[in-house]
Amino acid sequence: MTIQQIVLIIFWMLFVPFLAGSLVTAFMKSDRNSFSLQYLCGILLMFMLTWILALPMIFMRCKLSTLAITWGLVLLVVCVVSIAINRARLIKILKESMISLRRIPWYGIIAVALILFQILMYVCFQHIDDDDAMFVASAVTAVDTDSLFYYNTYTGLVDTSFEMRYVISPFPMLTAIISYLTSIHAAILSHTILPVFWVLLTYMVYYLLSTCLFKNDIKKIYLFLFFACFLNIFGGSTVYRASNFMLVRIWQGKAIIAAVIIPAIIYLAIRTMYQKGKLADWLALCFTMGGASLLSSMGILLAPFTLGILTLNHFISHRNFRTVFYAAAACLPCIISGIIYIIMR
Amino acid sequence: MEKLSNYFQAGIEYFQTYKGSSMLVVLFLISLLYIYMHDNKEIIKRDVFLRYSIVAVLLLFNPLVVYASVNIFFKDTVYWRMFWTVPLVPIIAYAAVQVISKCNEKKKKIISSIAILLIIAYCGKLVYSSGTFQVADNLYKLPQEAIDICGIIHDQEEDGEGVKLLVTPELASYIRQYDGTMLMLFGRNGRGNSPEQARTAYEELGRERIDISLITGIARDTGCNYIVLNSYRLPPDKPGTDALNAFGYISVDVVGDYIIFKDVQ
Repeated sequence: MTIQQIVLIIFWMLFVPFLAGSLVTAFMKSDRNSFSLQYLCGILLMFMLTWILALPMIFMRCKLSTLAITWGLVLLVVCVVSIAINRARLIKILKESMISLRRIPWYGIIAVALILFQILMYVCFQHIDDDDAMFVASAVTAVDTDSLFYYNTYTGLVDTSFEMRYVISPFPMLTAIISYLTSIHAAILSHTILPVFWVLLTYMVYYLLSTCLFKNDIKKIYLFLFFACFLNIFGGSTVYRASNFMLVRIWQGKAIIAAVIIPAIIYLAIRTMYQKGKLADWLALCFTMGGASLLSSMGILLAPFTLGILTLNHFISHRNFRTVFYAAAACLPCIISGIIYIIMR
Repeated sequence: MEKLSNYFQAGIEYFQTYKGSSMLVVLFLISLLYIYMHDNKEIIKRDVFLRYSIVAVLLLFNPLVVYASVNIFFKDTVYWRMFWTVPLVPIIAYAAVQVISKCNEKKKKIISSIAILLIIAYCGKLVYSSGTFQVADNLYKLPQEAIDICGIIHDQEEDGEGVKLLVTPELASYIRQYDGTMLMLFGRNGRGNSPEQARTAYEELGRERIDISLITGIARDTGCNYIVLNSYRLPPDKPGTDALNAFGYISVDVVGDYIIFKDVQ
């Protein structure tokens, strides 16, 4: 890998999500200055944008380059607007993050070491998975042929029909976009580089969730992270467990659903429903549902299922129809994907 | 009615698939009981952890939900993924933190932490055990043979020739993960655009001893100008790189156990 590629991947996978997320959190009310929240919102926005752009472009047989340039330009505009709106706050967020790093208790350092260990396993070792013949090869095909699901992933021959299960959730196209913008081979991205960011994101969501559960008690938060790491590392009783997917093949969309999307829905539901979140919080929740639709066809069912139960419980406790309405609106991406899937499969 | 009970039974079987031999589910139930006994008055924990888990479990085993999910959405047998919606890790981790926080002395906190870690280790199973990961051959994390074969074929490729490959099943999943311009007769599990010929070739190439006249016939019919074969599957009377000469394919290179043949007719 060249220095230029390393700079580009840090730009697109760290700076851009941070800045884009800051635009979403600028309109939130409470606990909006943590680095993790900016990053989560930024990645969710990237997911949502990919879903919005990729789906029609696939059906219109557009090129990957068109999708990647449009995607990149939109995000750059979002970042510029974010800098213009948040200039002072961005520095504050970075300063606060540095200060909070100094307050990590000793067992927090063990938790951080365990997270780094999980990342290193992805970087230094390999797990060969049969499903990559679809997920990774789709991204590689898109980049090598400058197309979007135009060719059969298994053979490379022109596909006369769409395999709806995969087209409806075109997460490999996000890998292809990043590959196009960074000139890093999609297989290297999937297997070696992106897992670094996905594992970090997973524990950022756990961190955010624990801030809600323990009311910003830093000692309890890091103890929670420590146990979460340990539970994931010892969660390998079968290959079907969420922990196994998270630690073995997180480059696949369905694994990100298990590791990031489900906990993120729970976290954002607490923010929106129990902490009287603003419209921006609901928007972040809607992006999560868009992310679920992008990542895997399973997400189209799993995400509304999770949010539906959370909404039901809140309604039983609070009898608030407004929450039900907003939650239903947040599910729109999944509803749209579900309808397209049922009609076109 | 009988059909509904079948779907209830199916729900339990999917759960068994998801759970395996792990005792973490027991730990999860104990954690829920702890939350019920100590945090039931806190609305967030009650609604988001306790009630959520109860409703989720009731729905996940509900035959109507199993029926709808399996027949309308999934088409295959991946209903076990629905159990991902139960937040096992956050709930157990939360209960563990609460138990430790209740201890007054530092010594007791350390002892209870170690005890909980030991219980988790005993109830669970290390993800990194039993050969899940191997030392990486390369940054692509693909078999090196697949990468080398793609490189050799591209070196052989003449201008405007185009490459269509008939490759042994062991490598079929990896070639296009490295090079998306390669055309193949079949990929993973023998899937391809010409199903009948792809299936025949896939099954033949999986045999202990392959019929090279059948393979070269399919390759020529389907326009495959390169064939990659496993050397130890070649017939004993034609074991080496000359095996396909009589059929118009000559060997261009050898990578590990694999011989690359090119159509010269």
